[in-house]
Amino acid sequence: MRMRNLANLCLLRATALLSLWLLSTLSSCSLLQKPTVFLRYFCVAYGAVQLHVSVDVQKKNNATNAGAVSGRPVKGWKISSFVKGFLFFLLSILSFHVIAVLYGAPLQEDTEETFSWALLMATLTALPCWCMLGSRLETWVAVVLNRPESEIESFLQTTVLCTVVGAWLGAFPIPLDWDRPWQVWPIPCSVGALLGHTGGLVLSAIQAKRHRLDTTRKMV
Amino acid sequence: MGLGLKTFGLLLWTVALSVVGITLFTKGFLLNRLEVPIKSSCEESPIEGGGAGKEDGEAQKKGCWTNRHFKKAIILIVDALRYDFATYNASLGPEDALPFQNKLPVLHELLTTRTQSSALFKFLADPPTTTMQRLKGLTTGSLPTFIDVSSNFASSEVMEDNIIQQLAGLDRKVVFMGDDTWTGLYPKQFHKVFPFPSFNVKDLHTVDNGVIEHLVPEMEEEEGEWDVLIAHFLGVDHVGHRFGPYHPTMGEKLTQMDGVIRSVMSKLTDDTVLFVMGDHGMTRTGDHGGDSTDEVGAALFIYSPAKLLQGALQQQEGQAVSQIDFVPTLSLLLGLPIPFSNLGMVIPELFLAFSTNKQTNNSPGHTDWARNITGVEALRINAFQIKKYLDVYARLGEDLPKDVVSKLQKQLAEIDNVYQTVINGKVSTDNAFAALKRAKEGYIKYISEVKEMCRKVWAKFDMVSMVCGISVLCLACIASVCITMQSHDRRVVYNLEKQLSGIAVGIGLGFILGIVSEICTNGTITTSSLAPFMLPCLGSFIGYTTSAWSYKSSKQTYKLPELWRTLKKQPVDWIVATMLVVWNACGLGANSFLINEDAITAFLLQSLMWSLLLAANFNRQSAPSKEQTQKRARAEKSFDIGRYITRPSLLLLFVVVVFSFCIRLSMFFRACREEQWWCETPHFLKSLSTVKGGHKNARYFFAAACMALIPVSLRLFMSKTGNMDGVTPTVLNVKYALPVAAVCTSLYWAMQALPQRVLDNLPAWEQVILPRVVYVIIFSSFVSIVWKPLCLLLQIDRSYYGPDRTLQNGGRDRQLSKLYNQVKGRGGTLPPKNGNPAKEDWDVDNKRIPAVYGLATVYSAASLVVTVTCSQLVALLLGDGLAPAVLLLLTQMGLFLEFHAAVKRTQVRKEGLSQEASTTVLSQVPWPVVVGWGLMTSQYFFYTGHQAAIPTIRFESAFTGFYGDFDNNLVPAVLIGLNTFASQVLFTASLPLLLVWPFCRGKWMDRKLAAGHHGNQEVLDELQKGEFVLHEHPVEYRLNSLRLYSMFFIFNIIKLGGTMVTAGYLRNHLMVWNIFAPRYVFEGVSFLVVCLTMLLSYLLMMRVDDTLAGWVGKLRDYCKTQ
Ligand SMILES: [Zn+2]
Ligand SMILES: [Zn+2]
Repeated sequence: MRMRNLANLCLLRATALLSLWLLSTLSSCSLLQKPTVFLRYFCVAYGAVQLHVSVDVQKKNNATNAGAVSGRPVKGWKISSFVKGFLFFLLSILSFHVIAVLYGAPLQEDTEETFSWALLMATLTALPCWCMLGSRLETWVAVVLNRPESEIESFLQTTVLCTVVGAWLGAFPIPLDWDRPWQVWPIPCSVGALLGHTGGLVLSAIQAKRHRLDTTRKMV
Repeated sequence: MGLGLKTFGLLLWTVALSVVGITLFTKGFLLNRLEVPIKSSCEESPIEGGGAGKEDGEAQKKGCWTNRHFKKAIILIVDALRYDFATYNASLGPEDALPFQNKLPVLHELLTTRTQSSALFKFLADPPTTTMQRLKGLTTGSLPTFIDVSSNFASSEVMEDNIIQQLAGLDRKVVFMGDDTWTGLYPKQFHKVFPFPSFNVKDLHTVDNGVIEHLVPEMEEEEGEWDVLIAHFLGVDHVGHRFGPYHPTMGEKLTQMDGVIRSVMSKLTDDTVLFVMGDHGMTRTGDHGGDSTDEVGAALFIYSPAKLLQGALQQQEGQAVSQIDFVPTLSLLLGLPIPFSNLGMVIPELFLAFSTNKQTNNSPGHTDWARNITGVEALRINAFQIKKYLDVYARLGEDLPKDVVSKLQKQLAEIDNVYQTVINGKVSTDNAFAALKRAKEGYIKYISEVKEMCRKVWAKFDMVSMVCGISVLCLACIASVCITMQSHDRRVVYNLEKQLSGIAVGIGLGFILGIVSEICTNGTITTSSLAPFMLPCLGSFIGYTTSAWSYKSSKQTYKLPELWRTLKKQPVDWIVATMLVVWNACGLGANSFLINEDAITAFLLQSLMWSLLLAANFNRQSAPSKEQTQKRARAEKSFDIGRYITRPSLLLLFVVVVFSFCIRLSMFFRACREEQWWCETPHFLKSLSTVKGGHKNARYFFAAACMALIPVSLRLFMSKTGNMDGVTPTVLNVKYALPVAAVCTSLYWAMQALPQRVLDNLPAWEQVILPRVVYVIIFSSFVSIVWKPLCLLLQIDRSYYGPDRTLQNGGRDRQLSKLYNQVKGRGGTLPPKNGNPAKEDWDVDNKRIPAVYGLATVYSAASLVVTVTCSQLVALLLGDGLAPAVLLLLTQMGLFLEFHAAVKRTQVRKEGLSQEASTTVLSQVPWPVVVGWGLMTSQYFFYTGHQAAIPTIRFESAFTGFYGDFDNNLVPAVLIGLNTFASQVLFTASLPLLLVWPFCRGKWMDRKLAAGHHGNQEVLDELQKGEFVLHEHPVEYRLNSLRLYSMFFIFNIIKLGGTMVTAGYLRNHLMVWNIFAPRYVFEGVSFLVVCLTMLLSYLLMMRVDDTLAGWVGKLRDYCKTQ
């Protein structure tokens, strides 16, 4: 039951992502023309998609009492835990910003661009963790670093790693002298992150499908 | 032969292979032109039948190959006079003009008032735009090749035929004053010389003032005292190097030049022609050497009180002539033979009147006709001189394409026919003018085509030699990969001797075979012979592989699929590191990556570091089970911030974050390439005397503090580990001499901050004494570390020392371990200064045993002393602005070492390894760590203010401690080399630290780990012994040293190979001389520096180990006698 959900969820998100992208390209604030505006709207919209889906997941988790991932049973949404999670989310935005600067983004200029990129990265990596694992930073880190045990963990690991690698690879076209308008920080890295994220979603959808087939075969 | 020497032999062999590779490639890539030794002579005109000047000429106008126009010439060379320095923009007010604009109004005045007597051209120099290269071009009229750049310091006499020699040969008197590069090039040819030192770029006025002092008096000398007067001013160039063209000083300097030109002009006589020219331009930062438009475009202004131009020159903006055109122009104007190897063309405007006569084409006046005939004659002489040169060159060298040459010569013959018919009056007068014009255009076309062909050919490459070089480098790379892989296995030590003899036999056989084959095929051994180089390399490689293979195959390991499996098993960081190395090498192929290489290197290093952190936490932790998680969760309900933030992985994270910050901070110390238009030269790279006001003090004291911190922290570290307790030369050196060196360096910088005028007035010895003291201290530091590399203190109480406590046989290890434990128990810090310490402190098992201080860090202490000594030398040469960068470098190095040690110790603890295995694990430096070290080397090459471009070389570093009057070029070359490759020297010299650091450092990790993982008690005991373990496992130590060094070698060789392949592949790329060739040259020299430092530091570490063995042996003997 849950496995199919996960696969669907991945595909649903991928579709949402692509449609958001398409919508923005058609509208006035495309990524190329106004990257910061685009990234801000995109993050809000995609965050909303995630929240909706994950509330769904959360309910099911509660129903089956499968809160073992986070170490203790989750009892709905508490205000305090929400605040904590939100703080961690802000922290992750901040750390992405700092990391971007450490990797060579300008320190004083382009702050808005760097911040928008950090927001995007946090939306693509930290937000799913928050939505699906609850508000413990420990668990978020553990899921990324350890061998995954459940589909949700493997899903999160795949998407987070793909997003990060995508953003990293995105940095390479920046110094090339093709003189294209899109070779400006943060556009290539944002595109890389988005592509990586989509790739991760598709990959984990395939994984979930395969896993399901395997288990049904075993059951037979 | 000891094991150490054997491993050194292998290392030496790979280094030698790569050096041969570099030599072969360089020979093919930086090709030299053949120098033709023939000289033109006055009697032998290139035109058949043409002898000396025409009979009908007035007697005093008789020249060599043609009539002369002027008797005397004055040549004012204003070094780095860019074209836009000489132009005049009337629309700019004095307020709006930039410091270099409108500062030479005299040229403008002459050009507007005396249109027939003056001309201004854009004077296009051939790259490389370095002064000596340009002077050669200006006097010989020949094209340069890239290799000449490197000989800029080996100023040597010009042997090719040149105009100075021609003048001297015809007894014309040449008076020279200014830049002493000239006297190096022409030591005997001048009648009178007033040379001034050229090398000191800080000195803005000595040369110019000297020239000004002598110029007008010399001009006023009586008739016959001089025929050609050359004055070379350097002030503009030096202002450019120091302040750039946008500094007000440039305005002052150019105004001074304006005055000079005016004073010369007022004294000119009618039979004299004046040239004012720049030998090259300058970039917007004031440097030169490359081939950008700003560097290539100099100014040429010609003036004579008499009529100079035959027709009025159409003054187009920026009308360009080539720099080599100066030679034939001057030669024919003065009636001299054109130098034999000249490829330039006379400036037609000075000889011909065609351009003005377009309307009156049909009825040319008689004077115009005669003048045009003379003009075309000049072109014809020029063309035939070039034809003669081409014939001789094609006979001597094989590089000119035969068919093109013969086609060109045929073309010339046809044109000459046209000209002959005109001269002999065989065409009607109506057509005569058109035919003459055709002849003129034909000659011009011929000359320019020959020039183009030569340019193309001399920029041609010897592909065979290049490919050979790259393949030898590949052999070296493969050999070091094999060496790295085989040193995993201890048993290889029995095979080493066989491998070495295989190599020796291979070299010998290859060499003999090479010489024999060369003699059989060619009859002679020439410098271009490849076989005597290639065959020994190939032979030694075969010798090595066969002997290594015989050992391998007997063990049945390393089959290809197995290799693949081991590759697949590698952890994430290994794969990432390899990818980064490959990426780094491939990125060298894109010019935009090379331009931004500084930022990209930092980016790659960041990526590597974070992936190392990820890998350290990734695979090792198996996912926590449910129970564990719950337990941990419960335990953490009581949130203890102190415990939380000192968790091992968080500590590692903290180290990595600080490391990242260091990288980011270091980016503020980068120099700007000419191509980085967005870049602004940072404050730290400007000299202190140009910094204004309060910033000056702040920057100085910051630099001094950084400088002080380096020896102080070494002292603290060594006294903490107990290495400062003994009284050996090395210890005394660290205690007293190195701090003194730091103080001297700081004082020297303070002196440099004085205004230039004050500094110049100081006596010479005061300017150099401080750096010289530092040099002496650093030299003595190196001597002491080689002489007495151990920083130990041995305390033996004879009376209590019983024979049962001998340090021998099986008891040895435990004994020394206890020795160390005791020291450790005492904190290792308290030297029992005179007087007996309390008995309880000394008793172990109620028996006295010797106490040794500093044994646990015996290797790292020696290595650290070397590192710090090198860093002090380098900091002195880099200057005060970059002292913070040196400190940052050392900090980053320390953080990296700590990170590496912590990861290693975690591994030992967690995996619960045996005693033997833990030593192996600790002493094996993984590939990603070596890659990190290599990337840091590249990072700090850029962030100590360098770029891989010739204009960014910091020549001023040659004056730290020297006046600038060098007898030989070795000293400045070494100083500039040390400045440029500071990072390579430092990181390579500190390479042994990577090996020894995990044995005694990274303990902060141990403490945190102790709670969770107890580990093997015996192993823990072993760890307490620190680096002494390495002495007990000499085979491990040597094999792993070899492994470490050859991995570092592989990293460097891959990078070098990348630059070679790209430079070779993109040899016809537009940017090759600007970007790819300099990148290769820098990487090649850097590689050689790395190799040399590597060999020296390897020998030093072997020396430390040998001395330690001797010391332990002595101790044992001593104990036996008790
Ligand atoms: Zn010059
Ligand atoms: Zn210069």
